[in-house]
Amino acid sequence: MKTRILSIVLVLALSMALLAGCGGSTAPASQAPASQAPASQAPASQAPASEAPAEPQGWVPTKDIEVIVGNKAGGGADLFTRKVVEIMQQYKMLPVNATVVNKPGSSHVVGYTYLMENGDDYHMDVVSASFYTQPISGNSPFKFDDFAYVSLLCQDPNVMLCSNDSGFNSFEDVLAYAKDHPGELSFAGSSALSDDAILCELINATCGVDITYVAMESGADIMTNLMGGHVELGCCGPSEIGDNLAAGNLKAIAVSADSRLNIEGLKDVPTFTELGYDIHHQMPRGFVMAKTASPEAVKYYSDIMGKVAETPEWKAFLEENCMMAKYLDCDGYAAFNQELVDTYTEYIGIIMANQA
Amino acid sequence: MELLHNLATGFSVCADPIVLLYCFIGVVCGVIIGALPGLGPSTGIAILLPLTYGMDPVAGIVMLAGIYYGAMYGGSITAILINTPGDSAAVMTTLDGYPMAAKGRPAQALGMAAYASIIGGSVSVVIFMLLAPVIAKFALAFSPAEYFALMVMGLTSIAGMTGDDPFKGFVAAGLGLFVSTIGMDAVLGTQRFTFGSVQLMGGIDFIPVAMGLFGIAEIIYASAQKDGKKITITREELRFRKMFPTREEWGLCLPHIARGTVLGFFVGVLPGAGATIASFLSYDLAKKTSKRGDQFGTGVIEGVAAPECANNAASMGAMVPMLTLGVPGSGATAIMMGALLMFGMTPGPYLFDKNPEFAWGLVASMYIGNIILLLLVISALPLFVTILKVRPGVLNGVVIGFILMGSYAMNNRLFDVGVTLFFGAVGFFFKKLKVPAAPMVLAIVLGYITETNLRQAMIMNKGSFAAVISRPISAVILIIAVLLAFGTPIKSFIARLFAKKQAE
Amino acid sequence: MEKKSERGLKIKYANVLLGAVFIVLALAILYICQRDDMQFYVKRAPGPGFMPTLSAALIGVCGVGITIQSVLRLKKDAAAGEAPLATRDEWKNFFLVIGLSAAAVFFAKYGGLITVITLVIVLLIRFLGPEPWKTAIPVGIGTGVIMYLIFVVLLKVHVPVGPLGF
Repeated sequence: MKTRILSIVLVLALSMALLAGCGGSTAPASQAPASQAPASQAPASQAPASEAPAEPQGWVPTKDIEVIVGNKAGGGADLFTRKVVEIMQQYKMLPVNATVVNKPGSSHVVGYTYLMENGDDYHMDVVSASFYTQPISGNSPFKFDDFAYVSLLCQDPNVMLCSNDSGFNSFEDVLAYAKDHPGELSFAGSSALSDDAILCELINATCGVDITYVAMESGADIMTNLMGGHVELGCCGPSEIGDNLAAGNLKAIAVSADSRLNIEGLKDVPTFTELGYDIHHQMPRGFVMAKTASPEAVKYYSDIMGKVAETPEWKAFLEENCMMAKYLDCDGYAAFNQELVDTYTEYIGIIMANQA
Repeated sequence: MELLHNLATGFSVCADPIVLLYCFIGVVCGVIIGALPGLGPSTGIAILLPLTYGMDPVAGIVMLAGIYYGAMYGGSITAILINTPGDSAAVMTTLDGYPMAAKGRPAQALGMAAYASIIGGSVSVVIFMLLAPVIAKFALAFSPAEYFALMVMGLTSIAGMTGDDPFKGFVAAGLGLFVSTIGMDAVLGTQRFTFGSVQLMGGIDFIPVAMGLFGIAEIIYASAQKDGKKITITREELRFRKMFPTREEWGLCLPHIARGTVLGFFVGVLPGAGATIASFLSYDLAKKTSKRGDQFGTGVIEGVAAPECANNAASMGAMVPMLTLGVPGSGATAIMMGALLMFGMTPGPYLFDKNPEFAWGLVASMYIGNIILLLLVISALPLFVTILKVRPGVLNGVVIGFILMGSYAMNNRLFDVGVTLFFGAVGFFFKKLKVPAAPMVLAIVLGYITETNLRQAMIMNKGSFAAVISRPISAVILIIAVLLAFGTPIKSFIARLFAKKQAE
Repeated sequence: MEKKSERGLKIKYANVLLGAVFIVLALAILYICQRDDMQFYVKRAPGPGFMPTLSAALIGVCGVGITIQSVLRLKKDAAAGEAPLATRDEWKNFFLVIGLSAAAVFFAKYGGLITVITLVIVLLIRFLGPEPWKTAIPVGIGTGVIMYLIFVVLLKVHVPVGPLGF
């Protein structure tokens, strides 16, 4: 029996060695980038920080950094964070290692809880819609004052779609129908307290109509229901649509963004602002730290993010994933944040009132 | 025929030794990860995804696909041997697989699970190839109303699992329904039963519950039995001939495998319904249509074949919407889709046109992957079964260690480990008081989806329940559900009528 | 739903207790639904209170059924009902497994998850088996090492680490 155990152990060890060899990335640091051969990925140098000469000799990290993602591996926020960390490693912007840590649960709240428990200069967390919606809806014990804002990197625009069966061709058609038939149109979005729900309420409030919001679980559900004609309207991110627009499976009628999207198939879609409605709600993506982190650390990371935003790899990533670049450093983000908080508070409030 | 030509292209792409190697690695890793309690195909794919960076796209996606169905089989290994389902799709396999192992027939159970999985997988690939565009339309026809009907059909199968005491069976179901509501409400976003706890807000994942109710409870119970559950397996038993099911067993199982594969495939196609639900429905269908239906749960081989072929068929089915519509059918396919995008492929209506070698290479790899799985299982089966030769005292300790570790690794949080333990304790009392655990697990999975879809359907149909159930597809499914639920009493009623007529 | 740990509680009494627990649970669920204002029906569709209320009804009805059934069976002397809820061995195993694992969960943050689980495995093999120390320690440590290799090195799961670094 002992020999059997030994052979099992040997087999396991061999297969793991094989895998580790094939994979190439053995350090627990972030994963190897797609553009580089995996074997050549060396951990960031241990030498003292060799930053751009213009950088003031201020605070530098001396321990490894943890970047927290409150979601499972493979999700939007996770891929976003991993790309940022990958670029930081690739350009050796940090004198230490940065690891991505997944802490999924309760729409990022578990991640923020973990951040607060380790609120030092070496822990950051990624921001997405949940950062705003959860405290407002009472689902998160944290307030916006508990965080230090590092930087904003981009925004995700929302595309409003309609099914082929609905017979609509433009946003005006939708509004005309909605005004005559209040409560009849359904608008599919993901989750009850999300940017999609806010968009629906924004349309209701700004255009004076009554469109019913149906919360689906994910972009996949929204797409299938739209293409199957079960809902008339829907909203999702441009990356979720894929080739279905070109294939004619559904139509895009408006875009919630600062300007028209420079993406294949969506270049002709007007923004709400162009159509005359003051709607440009997008999902912000950035990073925060706990309030207990030192301002020098925050400024340091903010500058690093600025450099990341300049790199060609980052620009390519944004383009692939249909995100709109918008870099704000720590002060800029802190100011913009108030605007975001106001919008979210107002509309999440309306949504929650509707539930009564 | 164009189809054969395309398939030939696919096979030629796969003939590359690198691709074959990665397929093999994928299947092996998939089986190992699937076997680890708590880790399922989506975790496996997510974790091994970074290894595919920089790889040739075909090799990469072939490896990920291999992990996917390898994991589907892997989960059943621990389900059969130690009553701990490795992932959600393996829960049904424990119901008959573990009793079979306890009776001294683990090799047959594992063997049939493998053959059923492989047949299910291979047949599904054929269906996929022939019908992919048509199937895509089928997937789109399902709105929340139709999902609701399908879930109701699943729930009726609970009635069959109540065992001797219906009250206890239904109370377990009720508990499961209740547990499924804990957390954030999907439709309105309200908190239910969370008592301010951040951890409870995310709801209770059903895999820790299953591991506790089945795995830990069984270990506590079995380790205290005086008559010593030492299963003696002789060398004779491990010979290949013995592991291959007998002709009689094939005769029993093949109809169920046929039905289960078709059912599983179509359920897998539906985004949102996946291998888990496919295995439930297939098990229930087999139970209702088998002559030995009332013996299900005591260790009948059809009870292993039915869910296993369905869950592999469903994993193939889940790739249909991913490849043809760009809509991921399940958590694992969502990650695979991310990988595809990373490789520069756009899954969707034009994938087969724009990248035919890639797409057909993937399809061909599914055949090859199934063959590799078969070879792997045949050679490694004696190894798996040898696990049972380890003294129970040692095995139990090790298994509990893996259960604890696995339930942590699912979501990186200790809360899930706590959940596993809590339900382990509950499961022990259930065992002693003869409350069946299967209805509870089923209810947790189905309850949430049923409720969410019912509410979404009602909102979309302007509050009219009649509209929800009178849609053509939902009506058909509900009628089938009623027939399945009351089929047996109706059958015996008719049989008695005929008997009376004959007597006259 | 954990029962009182009285040794020698007979199964037939335990069944009555079980029924009572379910009735109490059902009432508690209904109470919480009321308290948190989870409505049964909202606008055009079932609301957040729909499923909880239904499940509470099911649990309650079945709880009543179980209680009545068990009370009726109290008079009978069927051997099955006379047996104790759990034998001494079963109780011992129960507390051993649940207790050690719960301790593991508690101490994982301080001692490191892998270390703590390894300890649990060693102790379980020793006392649950029961196997001698010379089996328990090597197998336990060996399993711990394998778990470390699989989960931390290969799968890169982020585990709480203790002072020893794992």
